[in-house]
Parts: sequence; C-alpha cells; structure tokens
Amino acid sequence: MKIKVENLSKIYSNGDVSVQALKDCTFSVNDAEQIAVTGSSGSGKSTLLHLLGGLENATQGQIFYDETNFTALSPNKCDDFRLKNIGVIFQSFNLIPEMTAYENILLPLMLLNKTPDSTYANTLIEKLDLTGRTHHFPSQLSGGQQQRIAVARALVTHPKILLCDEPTGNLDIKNTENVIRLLQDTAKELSVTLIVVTHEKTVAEKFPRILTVSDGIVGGDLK
Amino acid sequence: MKKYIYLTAKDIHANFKKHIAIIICISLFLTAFLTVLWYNGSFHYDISLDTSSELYEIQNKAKISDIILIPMAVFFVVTSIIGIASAMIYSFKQQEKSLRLLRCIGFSKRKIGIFLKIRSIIIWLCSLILSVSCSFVSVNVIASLSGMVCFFDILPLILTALISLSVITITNAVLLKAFFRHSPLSENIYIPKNNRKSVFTLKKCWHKAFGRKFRLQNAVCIVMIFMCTVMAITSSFIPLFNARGTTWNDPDNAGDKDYSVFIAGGSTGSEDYYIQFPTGQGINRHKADMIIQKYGLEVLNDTGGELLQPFFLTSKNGDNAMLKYHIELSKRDGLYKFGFESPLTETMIKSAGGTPQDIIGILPVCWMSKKTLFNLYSPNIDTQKFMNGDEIVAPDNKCQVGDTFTVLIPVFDSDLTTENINENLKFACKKMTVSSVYHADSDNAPLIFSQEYLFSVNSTLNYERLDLSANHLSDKEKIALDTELQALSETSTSLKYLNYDKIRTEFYKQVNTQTIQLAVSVGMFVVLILSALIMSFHVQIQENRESCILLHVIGADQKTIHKLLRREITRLLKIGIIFGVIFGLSADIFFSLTNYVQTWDIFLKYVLPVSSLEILTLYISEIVNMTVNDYDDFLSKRRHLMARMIEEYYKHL
Repeated sequence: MKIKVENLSKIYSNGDVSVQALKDCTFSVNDAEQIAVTGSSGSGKSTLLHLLGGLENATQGQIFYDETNFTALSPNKCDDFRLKNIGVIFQSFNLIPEMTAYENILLPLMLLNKTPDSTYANTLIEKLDLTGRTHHFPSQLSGGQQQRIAVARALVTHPKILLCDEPTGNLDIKNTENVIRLLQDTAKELSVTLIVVTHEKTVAEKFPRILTVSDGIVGGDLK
Repeated sequence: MKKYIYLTAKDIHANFKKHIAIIICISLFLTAFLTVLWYNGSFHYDISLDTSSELYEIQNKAKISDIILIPMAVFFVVTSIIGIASAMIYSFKQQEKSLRLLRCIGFSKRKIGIFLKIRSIIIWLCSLILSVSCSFVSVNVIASLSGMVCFFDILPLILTALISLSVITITNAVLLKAFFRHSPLSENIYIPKNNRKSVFTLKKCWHKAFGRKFRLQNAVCIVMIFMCTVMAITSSFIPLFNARGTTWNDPDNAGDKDYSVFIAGGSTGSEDYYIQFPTGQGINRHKADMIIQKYGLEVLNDTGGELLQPFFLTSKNGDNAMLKYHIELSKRDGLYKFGFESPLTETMIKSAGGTPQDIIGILPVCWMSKKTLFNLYSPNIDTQKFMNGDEIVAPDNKCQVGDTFTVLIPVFDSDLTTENINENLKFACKKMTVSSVYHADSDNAPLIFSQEYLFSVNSTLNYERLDLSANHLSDKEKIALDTELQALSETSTSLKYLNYDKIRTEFYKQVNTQTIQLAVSVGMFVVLILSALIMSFHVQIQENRESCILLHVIGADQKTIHKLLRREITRLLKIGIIFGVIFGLSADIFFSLTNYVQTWDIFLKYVLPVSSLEILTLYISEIVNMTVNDYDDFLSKRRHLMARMIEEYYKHL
C-alpha cells in the first residue's frame, strides 16, 4: 500500500503552552517499501508514527493510503481501517497481561469476528520461534518472546502496512537483530509496507531507506 | 516509630484514592453493627403493654425483625468481610512495586511489616470514626422515620470493630507472607495453572481475561447485587406484616358483609416481652347474646370459644413455686401492670396454696383458645409426669375434696392444626385425687393437662368468632352499635367489629405509610451497597483502561469496547439479580405462607412494583455509571494522548 503524506503538522496544546511536534511534513512511501525513521529523543518520530496509525489526530495536513484520505475518515472508520490494514508494534510490547500469548496473537482476528486461521497463525508462531510458549501469559515470557508475540499479533490480519515504534528498544543485541530480520523478511514475503521508528543507528542502517526527523521536520533521505 | 507513622501518613495522603476504597469498605462493615444492634433488640418499639392488640403487634414485629434481620446481618457481615479483603488486596497490589523498591533500597521485611501494619491501623481508625458518626446519624434517621426507640449499644460496635481489625490483620499477614516469598526484584503474579486454555471469540476471551483480573471484585459485586435484590424484594414485603396488627382478614371472601362482629381467635406469644399463661380468648357469650337480641342482629356464623380455664396441680406445685417465680420476676422488673383478668384465677391460686399477697396484681394473664395453644406451642406432654394418685384442684360442680376420678391428658405425635386436631389428639387416662375445689359457674368442662398446667375446657362461655349481619340497621343504630362494640373492646373480651370496607382501607393506608418508612430505612442500606458497587465498577474500569486502550490501538472502535465492558457489568448484574430474585421470592413465599397473607394480591400491588423499581434503579445506575465513567475521557477527550499514555504506563512498569 502506497503512503502519501502532505503538509502534516501536529501541535500539542495545554492551555497557553503549545508544542509543535511536527512541522509541514511531506513525503511518500511506496508499496512494500521498508523504511526506517530516525531522530533524537523528542524529535517527533513517534508522533509521526502515531499520526500514520491514526492513534492521534493531525493538526494540519493529510495522509493518503493509496487513494484513501486517512485523515478525513471518521473515528470509527479510522479504527476499522487500522484494524484491517495497519499493524502496530510498540517498544513496550503492549500485550494484554491477562490473555495468553495465543489469545493476544488472535485478538485482532477476534475483533474482526473472523474464525482464526490456525494454519497461518501456527506458521507465524513457528516462524517466530514461539512454539510451546503460546499458552503462557506475557509475564511468563522474556522480552524478546513478548516482542515476537507483538509482531505475530500485528501480522495475523495480513496488514498492508506495519508501523513499528522502537520495536527493539527493550531488547538485547541478539534479539534486536532477530526481530529486525524477522520484520524485514516477513514484510518482504507478504509485501507489507514497513515503517520502523528507531533511534539506533545500527538498526536504521539495515533498512534501504532512512528518513530523519529533527525538531518536528522530516529531513532528507539518508540513503 | 515516629518516622514510620510519618511515612505512613504521607503514603495514605499520596494514595488517598486507593485507600479510600478500604475506608469505605470498613465503614460499610462497621455500619453492619446497626443491623446487629437491631437484631440484639436495641431497637424496641415504644409501647406499653396495656392491651392485647398492642401485645399482638409487638409480637408480630419482633418475630419479623428476627426473621428478616438475621439473614440480613449475615449478608452484611459476609459482604463486608469480602469487601475489606478485596480492597486490601487491591491496594497492596497497587503498591507492590513501590514496596519492592523499598526493599531494594534497604527496607527489611520487619520494617515493611511495621509500615503496613501502621498503615492498616490508621485506615481502620479513620473508618471507625467515619462509620460511628454515620451510624449515629443513621440510627436517629431510622428512629424518626419508623417510630422506633433506638438504644445505642456499645457491645455490637466493639464486636464489629474487632472483627474488621481481625480481617485487616489476617489479610495483611497473608499478603505479606506471599510478598516475602519472592525476591524483591521478581514479579509475583498469580496465574492459575489449570486455566490457560485459549478461547477464540472476543466476548469469551475478554470475559476470561476480565475474570482473571477481577475475580475477587466480581465475587464481591455479585454478593452485593444479590443482597441488594433480596433486600429490595423482602423489604417491600415487611410493611404488609407490620400492618397486620390491624388484622384485616376476610377468609371467607365475605366482603359483602357490611357490619360484622368478629372475634380475633388466639394470640401469638413471645417470651421476650411478657409472661403468658395459657388461657382463653373470645367474646363473652352472654354479652354478645344481649347485643344480638337488643339490635335484632342475624347470626351468620358462630364458633365456640373453647375457653381454657387454668388450675394447678398441688402435688407438682405444692408451694406454687412457678407462680411465685413469675410474680417475683414481674415485681423485680417493675414493667408490667396487669391484674388477673379472671377472678376465677385468683380463686384457683388461693385453692392451690397461694396467698393473697402473692397476687397483688402484677401478673399478666392472657386468654387463649385451645386450638391456638396447641398450634403455637405443641406441648409435648409427658404422660409419665402425671401419675395415678396425683392431686389436683378441680371445679366444685364436678367433684368434692377427696374424690378420685379419671382425667384426660392430651397425647399427640405430630403438631396439631385446626384441621387435624380431631384425628390426632388423643387422651390418656389417669386417676387423680381432688385436693381442693373452686367454684365453677359452668358445666360440661372436660379437663386437659399440659406439662405445667391443668386446664378445664369450656366451650359454652365464649364465642371464639361470631359473624353478624347488621345491614338492616339505620345509620343511627349502626353508630349506637359501634359505640357499644367499642365499649366492649375495652373489656377483656377482645371483641372487635369489622366494617370490611373501612378496615380494608385502613389496612392499605397503614401498609402505604409503612412502605414509605421502610423503603427509606432499607433505601439507606441499598444506597450504601450501590455506592460500593459503583466504586467497585469504577475501580475495575480504571484498572482495565490500559487493556481497553490497547484494544483501541489494535483497531477496536469505542462501541466495541463499550459493549465488552457493559457485557461484563451486565453479566455480574444478571447473576446477582437472578440469585437475589430466587432467594427473595422464596423468602417472601415462606413469609406469606406462614402468615396467611394473600400472596398474589400483595405481590401484584406491592412487592412486584417496589422490587422491580429498586432492581431497575440498580441496573440503570450501573450502566449509567459505566457510560459516564472516566473511561470515555481516554477514548475521546484525551484521544491524542492515548498512545503516549500507554508508553508511559509500560515504562513505569
């Protein structure tokens, strides 16, 4: 799915104080492209990702997914679009602690009222090396395992776009490499557009395209 | 120690919202002492034992209080114990990470133990002050609304305070033990091993996850909803019992009778309130016949009074020890101002060896029919106690001193009722010797023994019930009849006249008044429980907000999340209400059967609307509470902060 961002701005206001997190961002991402978004802390990269995922409302500007004007959608349609087309992965895994790993993975499918495709789910689980851990609760799993479950959850609905917000922030070097490789391989295999926000140079360098964000302004493509 | 108290006070201040849950729960528990007080008899109706009608009323009310308030007290206490434990666990879990941190920086187990104990005691003391103040107000409000005289009893207060302290201490100890079992850095998450099977529909999956997190809170909520429902149903029934003091009774569906003379047969007894000697009740046949003749009334129905006349076994009570005991008791208490209702009794006591000084006139004697006596007390007569050759006092129209003759002792295996008395009541024969006689103005009076008393049954002295038609009388004559009957009521005959329409109106008027009084009293408890429920649901939703937001991030819309939350609350409400309705209705049916209240009539007019209204209020208030909860803020007003909050939350973890 092709992404087109035009003059995107975001201002956080709290009474008289307002902070401009993003300023007139314009860029596009091709179908099945893999890009990394880097920048220092507070530069606005997470805000950009949240706007792309519809988790926050833009103050100004538009986001197009193919021909769909995402920013113009109603909240409910936005939620529905996200459920069907976008997978989101967070740094802190964000799994529901009272559900088993398997239930967490299948949660988006449950929301879609779809009968779980056990073959695909099991393929994902096998691929992510989670076999034997599916009936454990998140608290019984390591950080790497939890992040892999978050990846599986994001992929289970066959999304067209995968948004990852510091997916390796809580992982060691070995797990970081594994998760990034996994994301890239899976995105390639399934023709998913992959956008990864990271502040780690080593991670960003693994991507064919890197966008930099500095003080809310999306800079040039480093590669 | 000072630094611990200071630290604890700071902690309570900083975590006020968390601790307020515990304070409310403990207050709820301590308010239970109201119920215990009531049950203990500190709530007495302000009456003087002057007339049989008042006695009848207080007996009814005392019985109802006993029946209703014992389960109420049990419910209240059990719910409160669960509530306190739940709130303690909730608060502890909330602070577990901080406590771990304290351990990491050098707090020993002992220090943490002291810290938590002091905190619990401070919370307990706060709740004690809060609840005692509330209870004083409640007692006065209930007293003013229900016309009762309330005595503030310190014993139940101490009891409930001690129990709540015990619950706090035990819960604290258990939580600390579990906490210390793990190292400071390891998470202590309880996961049931046998409950890991995954489910694949959103409804079930969410419900299971919700259940895992809020198992105890859900149990508390169900118990509270159950209790609320039971109270709603049974409380709407209570005024009907109370109103029966006026005894509107139309068993033959004789509503067409305008004026009737009706003799209330029998009375109920309660040892707590007065001394009762088994005697008879009814209208004096002679007086009634005079009125019938004077006004030319038509007799529709009459029942013999079967008056029981007591006299005493001299061989068993040669010194009248039992009689003296009652006299002494009455004198000591100084409460009763009754004289003997029948000069016959006086004669008998004298004949039995008593002295005139013993019967100065402070012994209450009520008359009671044979049927009532047997129905209520079912005396299991030990025929072995009455041996051949025992001495008795007997009426002079039957015998003379020194005569020996056969007396009948009632023997029966099962409880006697009006229906089976003729079949089941049998008499054993014993040879007795007459030691003294008294003057009897009636004949054909058979003798009956019970364990303590000897009776003579006389069916010719009184009417137990007498229905008369007075429709042909003019208004003036009716007024004259009214006056005469009212005058008769003041005598010991307990005669009443019934104007069915008037009494029906009065009956329901009284029911309505008492319904309002009781609805307010019970409403106070219901509001208390509702507050606790709303608080509990609020806490659950607050606690679950991260999961809700996460669902939203994945793609669930607000409607879906609302539906999921509402389903959980509805599920709890349904379970509690269904069980409550079953229990409440069973209790009502039981009361209606034992009190001969016309069930369906009363159910349709009172129980159904009142209880439905209360249950509906409960249901709607919970749904409204959930809808307007802070949760909405997270999804709409603060939507832009949503993802950031998730991050912050997990970073904090």
